[in-house]
Amino acid sequence: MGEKKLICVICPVGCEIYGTINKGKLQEIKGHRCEQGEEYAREEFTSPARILTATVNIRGGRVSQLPVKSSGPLPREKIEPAMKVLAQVMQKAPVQEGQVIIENILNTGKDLIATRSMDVLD
Amino acid sequence: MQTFDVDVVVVGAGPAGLGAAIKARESGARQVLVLERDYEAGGILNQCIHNGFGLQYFSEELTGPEYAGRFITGAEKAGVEIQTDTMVLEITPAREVITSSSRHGLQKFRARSIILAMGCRERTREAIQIYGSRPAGIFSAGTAQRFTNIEGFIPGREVAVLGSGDIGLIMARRMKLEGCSVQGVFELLPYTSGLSRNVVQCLNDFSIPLYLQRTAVRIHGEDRLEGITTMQVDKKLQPQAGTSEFIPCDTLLLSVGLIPENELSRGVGVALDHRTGGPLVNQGRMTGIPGIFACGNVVQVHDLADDVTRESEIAGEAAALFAAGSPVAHREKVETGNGLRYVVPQNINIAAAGEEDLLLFMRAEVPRRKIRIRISQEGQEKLSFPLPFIKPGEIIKLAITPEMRTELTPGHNLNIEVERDKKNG
Repeated sequence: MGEKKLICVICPVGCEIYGTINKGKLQEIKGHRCEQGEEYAREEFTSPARILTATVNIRGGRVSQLPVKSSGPLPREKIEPAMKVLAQVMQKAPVQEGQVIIENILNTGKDLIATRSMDVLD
Repeated sequence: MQTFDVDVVVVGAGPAGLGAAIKARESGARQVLVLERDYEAGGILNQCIHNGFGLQYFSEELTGPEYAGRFITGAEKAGVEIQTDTMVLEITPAREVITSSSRHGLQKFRARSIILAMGCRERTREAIQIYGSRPAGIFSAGTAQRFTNIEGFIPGREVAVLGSGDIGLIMARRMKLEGCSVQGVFELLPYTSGLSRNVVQCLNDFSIPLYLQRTAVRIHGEDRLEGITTMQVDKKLQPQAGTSEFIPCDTLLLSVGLIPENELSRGVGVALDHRTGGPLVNQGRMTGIPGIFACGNVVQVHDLADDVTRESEIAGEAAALFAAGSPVAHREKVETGNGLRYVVPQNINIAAAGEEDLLLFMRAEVPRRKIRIRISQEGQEKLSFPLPFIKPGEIIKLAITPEMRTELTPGHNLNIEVERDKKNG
């Protein structure tokens, strides 16, 4: 049986929340002061996920980097492997905000999308 | 020099300038011109590729470029004119704005009202005086962010971060994601000055250590940075003998504070508040010079772009009203009392606030729990706001509703201070 601790980031109060884990199963959550906090802690203790934000190389635009994000949270352990995938990308301008740059990245069901438009530099 | 007449001139096309310009148009200003020295609008948000923007203002989570994009589109729709690649050289008390650009040469804009939205800049190594040599590899965190996210250069391989402001935390994660090793974040104070969510998602997620009450005391290296000496500090922030540790690194990122960029404001004679580093403003964000307004990080260094937007809308509306000939004069001063670093606005007009909430921004001196913010006039308590906690890293916002304002006496200054909450404590 193990105990894990986290700091809640739902609001600025920053509650310390404790989770008791037995044989890989979450048994108990303590220390939260609201329902959102409990929900956040449940996810964090069992399957933490994050939106990935990064850049990919782009040519033909005014600058060399295009900012991108995952269309939804990726499992935390997929973040660093995903960075290796997007290091291989060479996108061509023009790009529209919201355009899919990599579809279904690492079979997560989430796409990598552009977070800004970039015109061709004339 | 060509001369133009404009209702409202806005200096800076970051979130503050764009938000103010849109609101000025919506509030009736006929021509609104935004002047921007960069090649495109959006300001620093263009390099803030991380998410977390817009949670309060749009109730959804956006990245910096997306947040900027909404205001760039909004400005176009509202009929705001943006002139990029244009540097404002001088503003005169007669509300003339003189600019230089390679495309248009020298221009003079005669404005009915001016909104200052120049934002802020980062403190440097020189500002904090770290002893040692002067090798390459020492960057402000924002400079490294621009190199990485826009220009496509990684500033180094082995990174230490000095200061735990939000940009420092975000760049620690960014460097790690780009494959650098990140030695740690070193913070002089016993607490971080960044948001808790950034400590969790930027440091804890990537096992990047945070060293509190520890700072860099010496820079090593000739051509390129080879490392820093760090030391533990005591309560008076003095380094303690016997605690020094050498941290090897080829890159040092500094996240040691931001300074509102007020050279233009000073040039025209706008009075500044030494606590905020920004202009003294009234509730409409008008400075001491009639018709010159200010909003965003040039007034106070905000934690959230969402708050910049709220402040810019206040300034945009007031600037449009001024341009149309209905200015609001202030009557009461807001004095910063015990436990607070500053309060914005520094001047208000209780009677003229209308039906809207009067929003007060303030920053705590130190983290405290179970306190109340006390507003008094002539030594008498008028309003009290209990709060479970306050932190210097998270701005306090209090809305003084029209109903609460009936408790206040027009003509008397306000004193705002932090007190232990006896009922709660």
